[in-house]
Amino acid sequence: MTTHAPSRSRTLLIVLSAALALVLSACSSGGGSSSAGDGKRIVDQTITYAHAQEPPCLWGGWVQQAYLSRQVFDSLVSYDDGKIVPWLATSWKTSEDGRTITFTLRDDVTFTDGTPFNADAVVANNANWAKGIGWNSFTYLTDAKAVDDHTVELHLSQRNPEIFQELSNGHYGIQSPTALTTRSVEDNCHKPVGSGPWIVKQWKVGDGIDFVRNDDYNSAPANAKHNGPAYQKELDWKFVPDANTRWSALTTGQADVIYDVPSVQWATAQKNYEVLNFVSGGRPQAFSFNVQQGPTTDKRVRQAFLYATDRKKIIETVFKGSVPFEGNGTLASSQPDYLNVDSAYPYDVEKANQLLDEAGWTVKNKDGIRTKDGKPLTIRLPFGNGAIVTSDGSAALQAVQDQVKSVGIDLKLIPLTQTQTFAGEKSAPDEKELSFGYWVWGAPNILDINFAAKQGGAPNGNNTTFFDDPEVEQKIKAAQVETDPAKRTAAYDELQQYFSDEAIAVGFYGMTYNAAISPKLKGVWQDQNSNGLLNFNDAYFVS
Amino acid sequence: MSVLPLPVPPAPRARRGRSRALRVPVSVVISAAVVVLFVVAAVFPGLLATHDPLKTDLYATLQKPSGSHWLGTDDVGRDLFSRIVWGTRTSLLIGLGVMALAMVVAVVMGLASGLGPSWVSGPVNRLLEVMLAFPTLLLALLLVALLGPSAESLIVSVGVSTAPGYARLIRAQTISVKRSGYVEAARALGHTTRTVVRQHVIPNAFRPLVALIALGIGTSVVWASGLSFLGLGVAPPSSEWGLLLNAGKTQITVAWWLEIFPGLAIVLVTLSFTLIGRYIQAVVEGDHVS
Amino acid sequence: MSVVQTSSPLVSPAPAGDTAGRRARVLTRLAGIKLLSSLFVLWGTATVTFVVLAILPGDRATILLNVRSGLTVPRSPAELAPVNREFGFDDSFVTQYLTYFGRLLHGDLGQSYQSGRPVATIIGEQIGPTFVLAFAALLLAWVLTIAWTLLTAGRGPRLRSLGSAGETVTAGLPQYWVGILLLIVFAAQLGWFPVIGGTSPSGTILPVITLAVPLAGFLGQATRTEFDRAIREPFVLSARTRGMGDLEVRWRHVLRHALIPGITLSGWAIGTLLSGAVLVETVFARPGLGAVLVTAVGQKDLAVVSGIVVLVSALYVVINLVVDVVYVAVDPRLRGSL
Repeated sequence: MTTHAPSRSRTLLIVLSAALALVLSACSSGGGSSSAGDGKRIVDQTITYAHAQEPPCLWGGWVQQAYLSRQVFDSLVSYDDGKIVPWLATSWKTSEDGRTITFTLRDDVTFTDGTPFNADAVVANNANWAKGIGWNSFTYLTDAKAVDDHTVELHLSQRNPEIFQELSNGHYGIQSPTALTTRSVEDNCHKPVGSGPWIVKQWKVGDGIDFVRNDDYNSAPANAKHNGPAYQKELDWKFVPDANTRWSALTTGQADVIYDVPSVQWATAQKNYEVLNFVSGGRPQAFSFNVQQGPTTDKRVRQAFLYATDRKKIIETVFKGSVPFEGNGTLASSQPDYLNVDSAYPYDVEKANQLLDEAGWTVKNKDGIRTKDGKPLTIRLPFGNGAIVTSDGSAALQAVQDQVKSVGIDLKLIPLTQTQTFAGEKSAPDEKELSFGYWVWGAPNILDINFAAKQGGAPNGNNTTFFDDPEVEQKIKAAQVETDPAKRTAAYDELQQYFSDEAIAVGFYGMTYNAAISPKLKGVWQDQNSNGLLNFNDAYFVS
Repeated sequence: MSVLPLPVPPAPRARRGRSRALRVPVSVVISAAVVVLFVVAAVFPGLLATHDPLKTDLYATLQKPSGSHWLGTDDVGRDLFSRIVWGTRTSLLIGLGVMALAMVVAVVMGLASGLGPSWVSGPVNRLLEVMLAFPTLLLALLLVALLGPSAESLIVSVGVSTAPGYARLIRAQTISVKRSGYVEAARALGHTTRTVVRQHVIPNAFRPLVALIALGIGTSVVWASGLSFLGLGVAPPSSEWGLLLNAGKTQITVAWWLEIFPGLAIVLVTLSFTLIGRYIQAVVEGDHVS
Repeated sequence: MSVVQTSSPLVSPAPAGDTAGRRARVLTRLAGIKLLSSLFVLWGTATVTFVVLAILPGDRATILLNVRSGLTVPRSPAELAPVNREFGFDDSFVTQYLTYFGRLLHGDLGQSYQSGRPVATIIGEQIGPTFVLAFAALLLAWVLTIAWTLLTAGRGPRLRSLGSAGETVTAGLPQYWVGILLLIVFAAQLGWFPVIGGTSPSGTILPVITLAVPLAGFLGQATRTEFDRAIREPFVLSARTRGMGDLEVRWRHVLRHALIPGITLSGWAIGTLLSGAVLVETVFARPGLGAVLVTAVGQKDLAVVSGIVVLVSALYVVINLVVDVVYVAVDPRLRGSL
């Protein structure tokens, strides 16, 4: 049995004791207040944080839930800028066939209800993930087995070199098995029990969540700035859907940290506040052309659409620097195997017109829309209004709509209500020519999720291009089990280039999670794994 | 904002107001002019608009009101004045559509309830009671969330939700006319029920509706824009006023004009229709105070 | 009395010469009819909600799976089957209705199928803030109306048209628009009120003003019409000839009459205020039934939506009863009729 280094570190064996790591990190952060450099540390206060959306449950498969879960639960491992570091697990080994991961666990961690953390807890949580996380199967996790009290095996249905990065995202937090089995669904939803730095005191639905410090906290991840209880006593987590209200809360001093700064204030935020900005992993906000039926099956039409739009300028104008332009439609820029294809399809109206002429869309109707055999060149784009595409995103799409009109393409924007969006409406191949959306995910097997023709025998709902090419799919499936880093990168580069060259999936902007922090508060940091979760455990006020 | 709080006029009076020449107040004249202006904007937006309402200009975004852009530009450089002008068509159409639908439903229900035999009026009354117990926005919200966002579903959902209020007024009006002395007198003179209903009940019961419709158009515009504001409006790039308000909200801290002017357009239209409606109401009721 | 007939039976003067016994019988009968009609309204609203949520598009099992996983994809029958089984979505329409209604009859509002929380708990948490908002707005609207009417109605033409203009303008204001402007000016710029007010008293002031101002415009219009009518009545003249002061005449005699249409409207106003609360709560990020309702509708969460609907319609029924009583208290002519 060989041991694979987590992620792409070259070391053969990492058996880092958590204690050692924590001692090191404590040393590096240096003696307390002196390193702050700007005044005295003020502790035992309340941090007020204004977030946007309120999920129905504190944990689950939705990104908004990961934000909350991270405050209450610890995970097995943590992701530190490309490296996997210890957290509740001190070391780990991958079996030869890549389908068994053995974790050695800490033996000094207790959940806040007094239940000890051990191998059985992991087994119980594995079952809970399978039930509570809708996309759990994309990690290929199957079952778990306790080897001894503090050794646990996780089994996979296929080799998955990215499993560690997936386990380190906020969705895979570990809850108290006692709480999971003995309490009601409601209690576990609203006041779940973990071993993390914060404890839910009260969830005031529609208003916010009051967290109090876990005074016995001793299980910070190795990449945290300190191990031990949070510096502040309370974390007041507010739900404020309107971006301007959040911004005003920050400027009036009502909130110390806000999520998702309005674009129009981004420049001011950068000047007057500390800003955090993280492009999520997975897939950016991208265009997916229907390659199964309709006019977009012609590559020239797809490319003409792209040449006709000054996508970079639109993003700069609408988002004002708060969100980056992204040309890659398959992998996000924060993804390790990301390939930069931003220079593909520059703004070139002439080329767009030429391609459309070649494709036979030559006659324009009275509205200036190109037609072929009497049929207008209409591209329907249903999009989740609010839920998936923000107000700024909608403005950017309207700019695209105006630009493609000048080459004779009629882009129809079809906003969907939340009900329609979540009911999966308008997702059949005969209902749209173009899709727009993102997919937050921590690993490049997002390609398999998005471009495999079938998933578990049924048509793959995540395949919004309706792409169906067994040969390419084979390459995708081979790439994700490739363990040689160089070969893996080469394989993914080829695939990303392919989807860009064929204009099947092309990017628009990075799915960005940003935050602005009052100068009074230091030490807030953003997890660099797929969804930019915020850490408040290390935060302290300065005078 | 929902069911119009028109005090149900007491008993219809004979047309005595005719003899007294009514002077039309200045406010009503101005309102009529405003309404005409908006109607022109709705029918011939090209006449008033200074720019193409959909033409984006990424190099002239969020411009303050100026000579070249009277009401400024939005975040993708579209001319706000032209967008409001073009949006008039959608917004007024929604207002008119809502009232048309609400009136059809209300008249049918109101008359069935007020004049129908008991096996008709009974069930209709019960249905009316149930519909009235729904807060307007709740019913509208349910309908539009499930039908999808579009001008048509706004019309259907707001129309259906506001109809019961109007139906109640029509019902009350019909009953009070039916019971009034002169209908009895007409009966006593030997007119058939049909004649009485056609010549007396319906005209007298319906006269206040003219005012109601004028008032209702304004409130319908406000309701529909409220749903748009919740993100349940018309598809972009339409510049329906509620949609403009919803989009302007995110820019308000740096571009106040995007939120102020569309709001003023709504207020102006509502105000004008209300003033006209109240004037008509006063004339119809015959107690116009000069 | 049926809810629809808020004005008719009570307004018509009671036949003279009733014996006490007959009156008691009539009253009992009236009360019985009223109770039945109220129950009918509750049943009707619950049923309409069920039907609307059941027949309109949007598969509930798909929504549930997608909300749980943060996805927006169509689901395969294999994925949907267990969810349908768990929540009974694949039962026949009639079975689902009977289950739903049977539960309601037992006073069980059910559980949110999104969060698994009992609907009674959800409503219990949110009802307070919304009621505080709605009733404070109603109160403020009445204060504004009465002050404005006493100040401007039945006066010289200038003051009268000013008063009337004020009402017409405020009545047509879109609430959410007013709310945004108030929030930006008084909370964000001037800092007089908290931006995230929650349910605190200082955070309640702006939302209450937002709701009250347009409502005051409506109540004002109705009150003014009646005020102008009443001040020309003979009893006003006779009061004046008895030497009563102008303010007293206005306050004690004229206003009393003028309030009647407005009071009738107050029952209606509560419905409107709850609708308005949906928008205002969104603008001010204030907890309350509005936000819960919008989310629940979006997710076709039947139990939550119908719980709120049943509650609101019950409230509507009760308020209309109260309005009838207040009506009699205000209008002395009707005292004999109850």
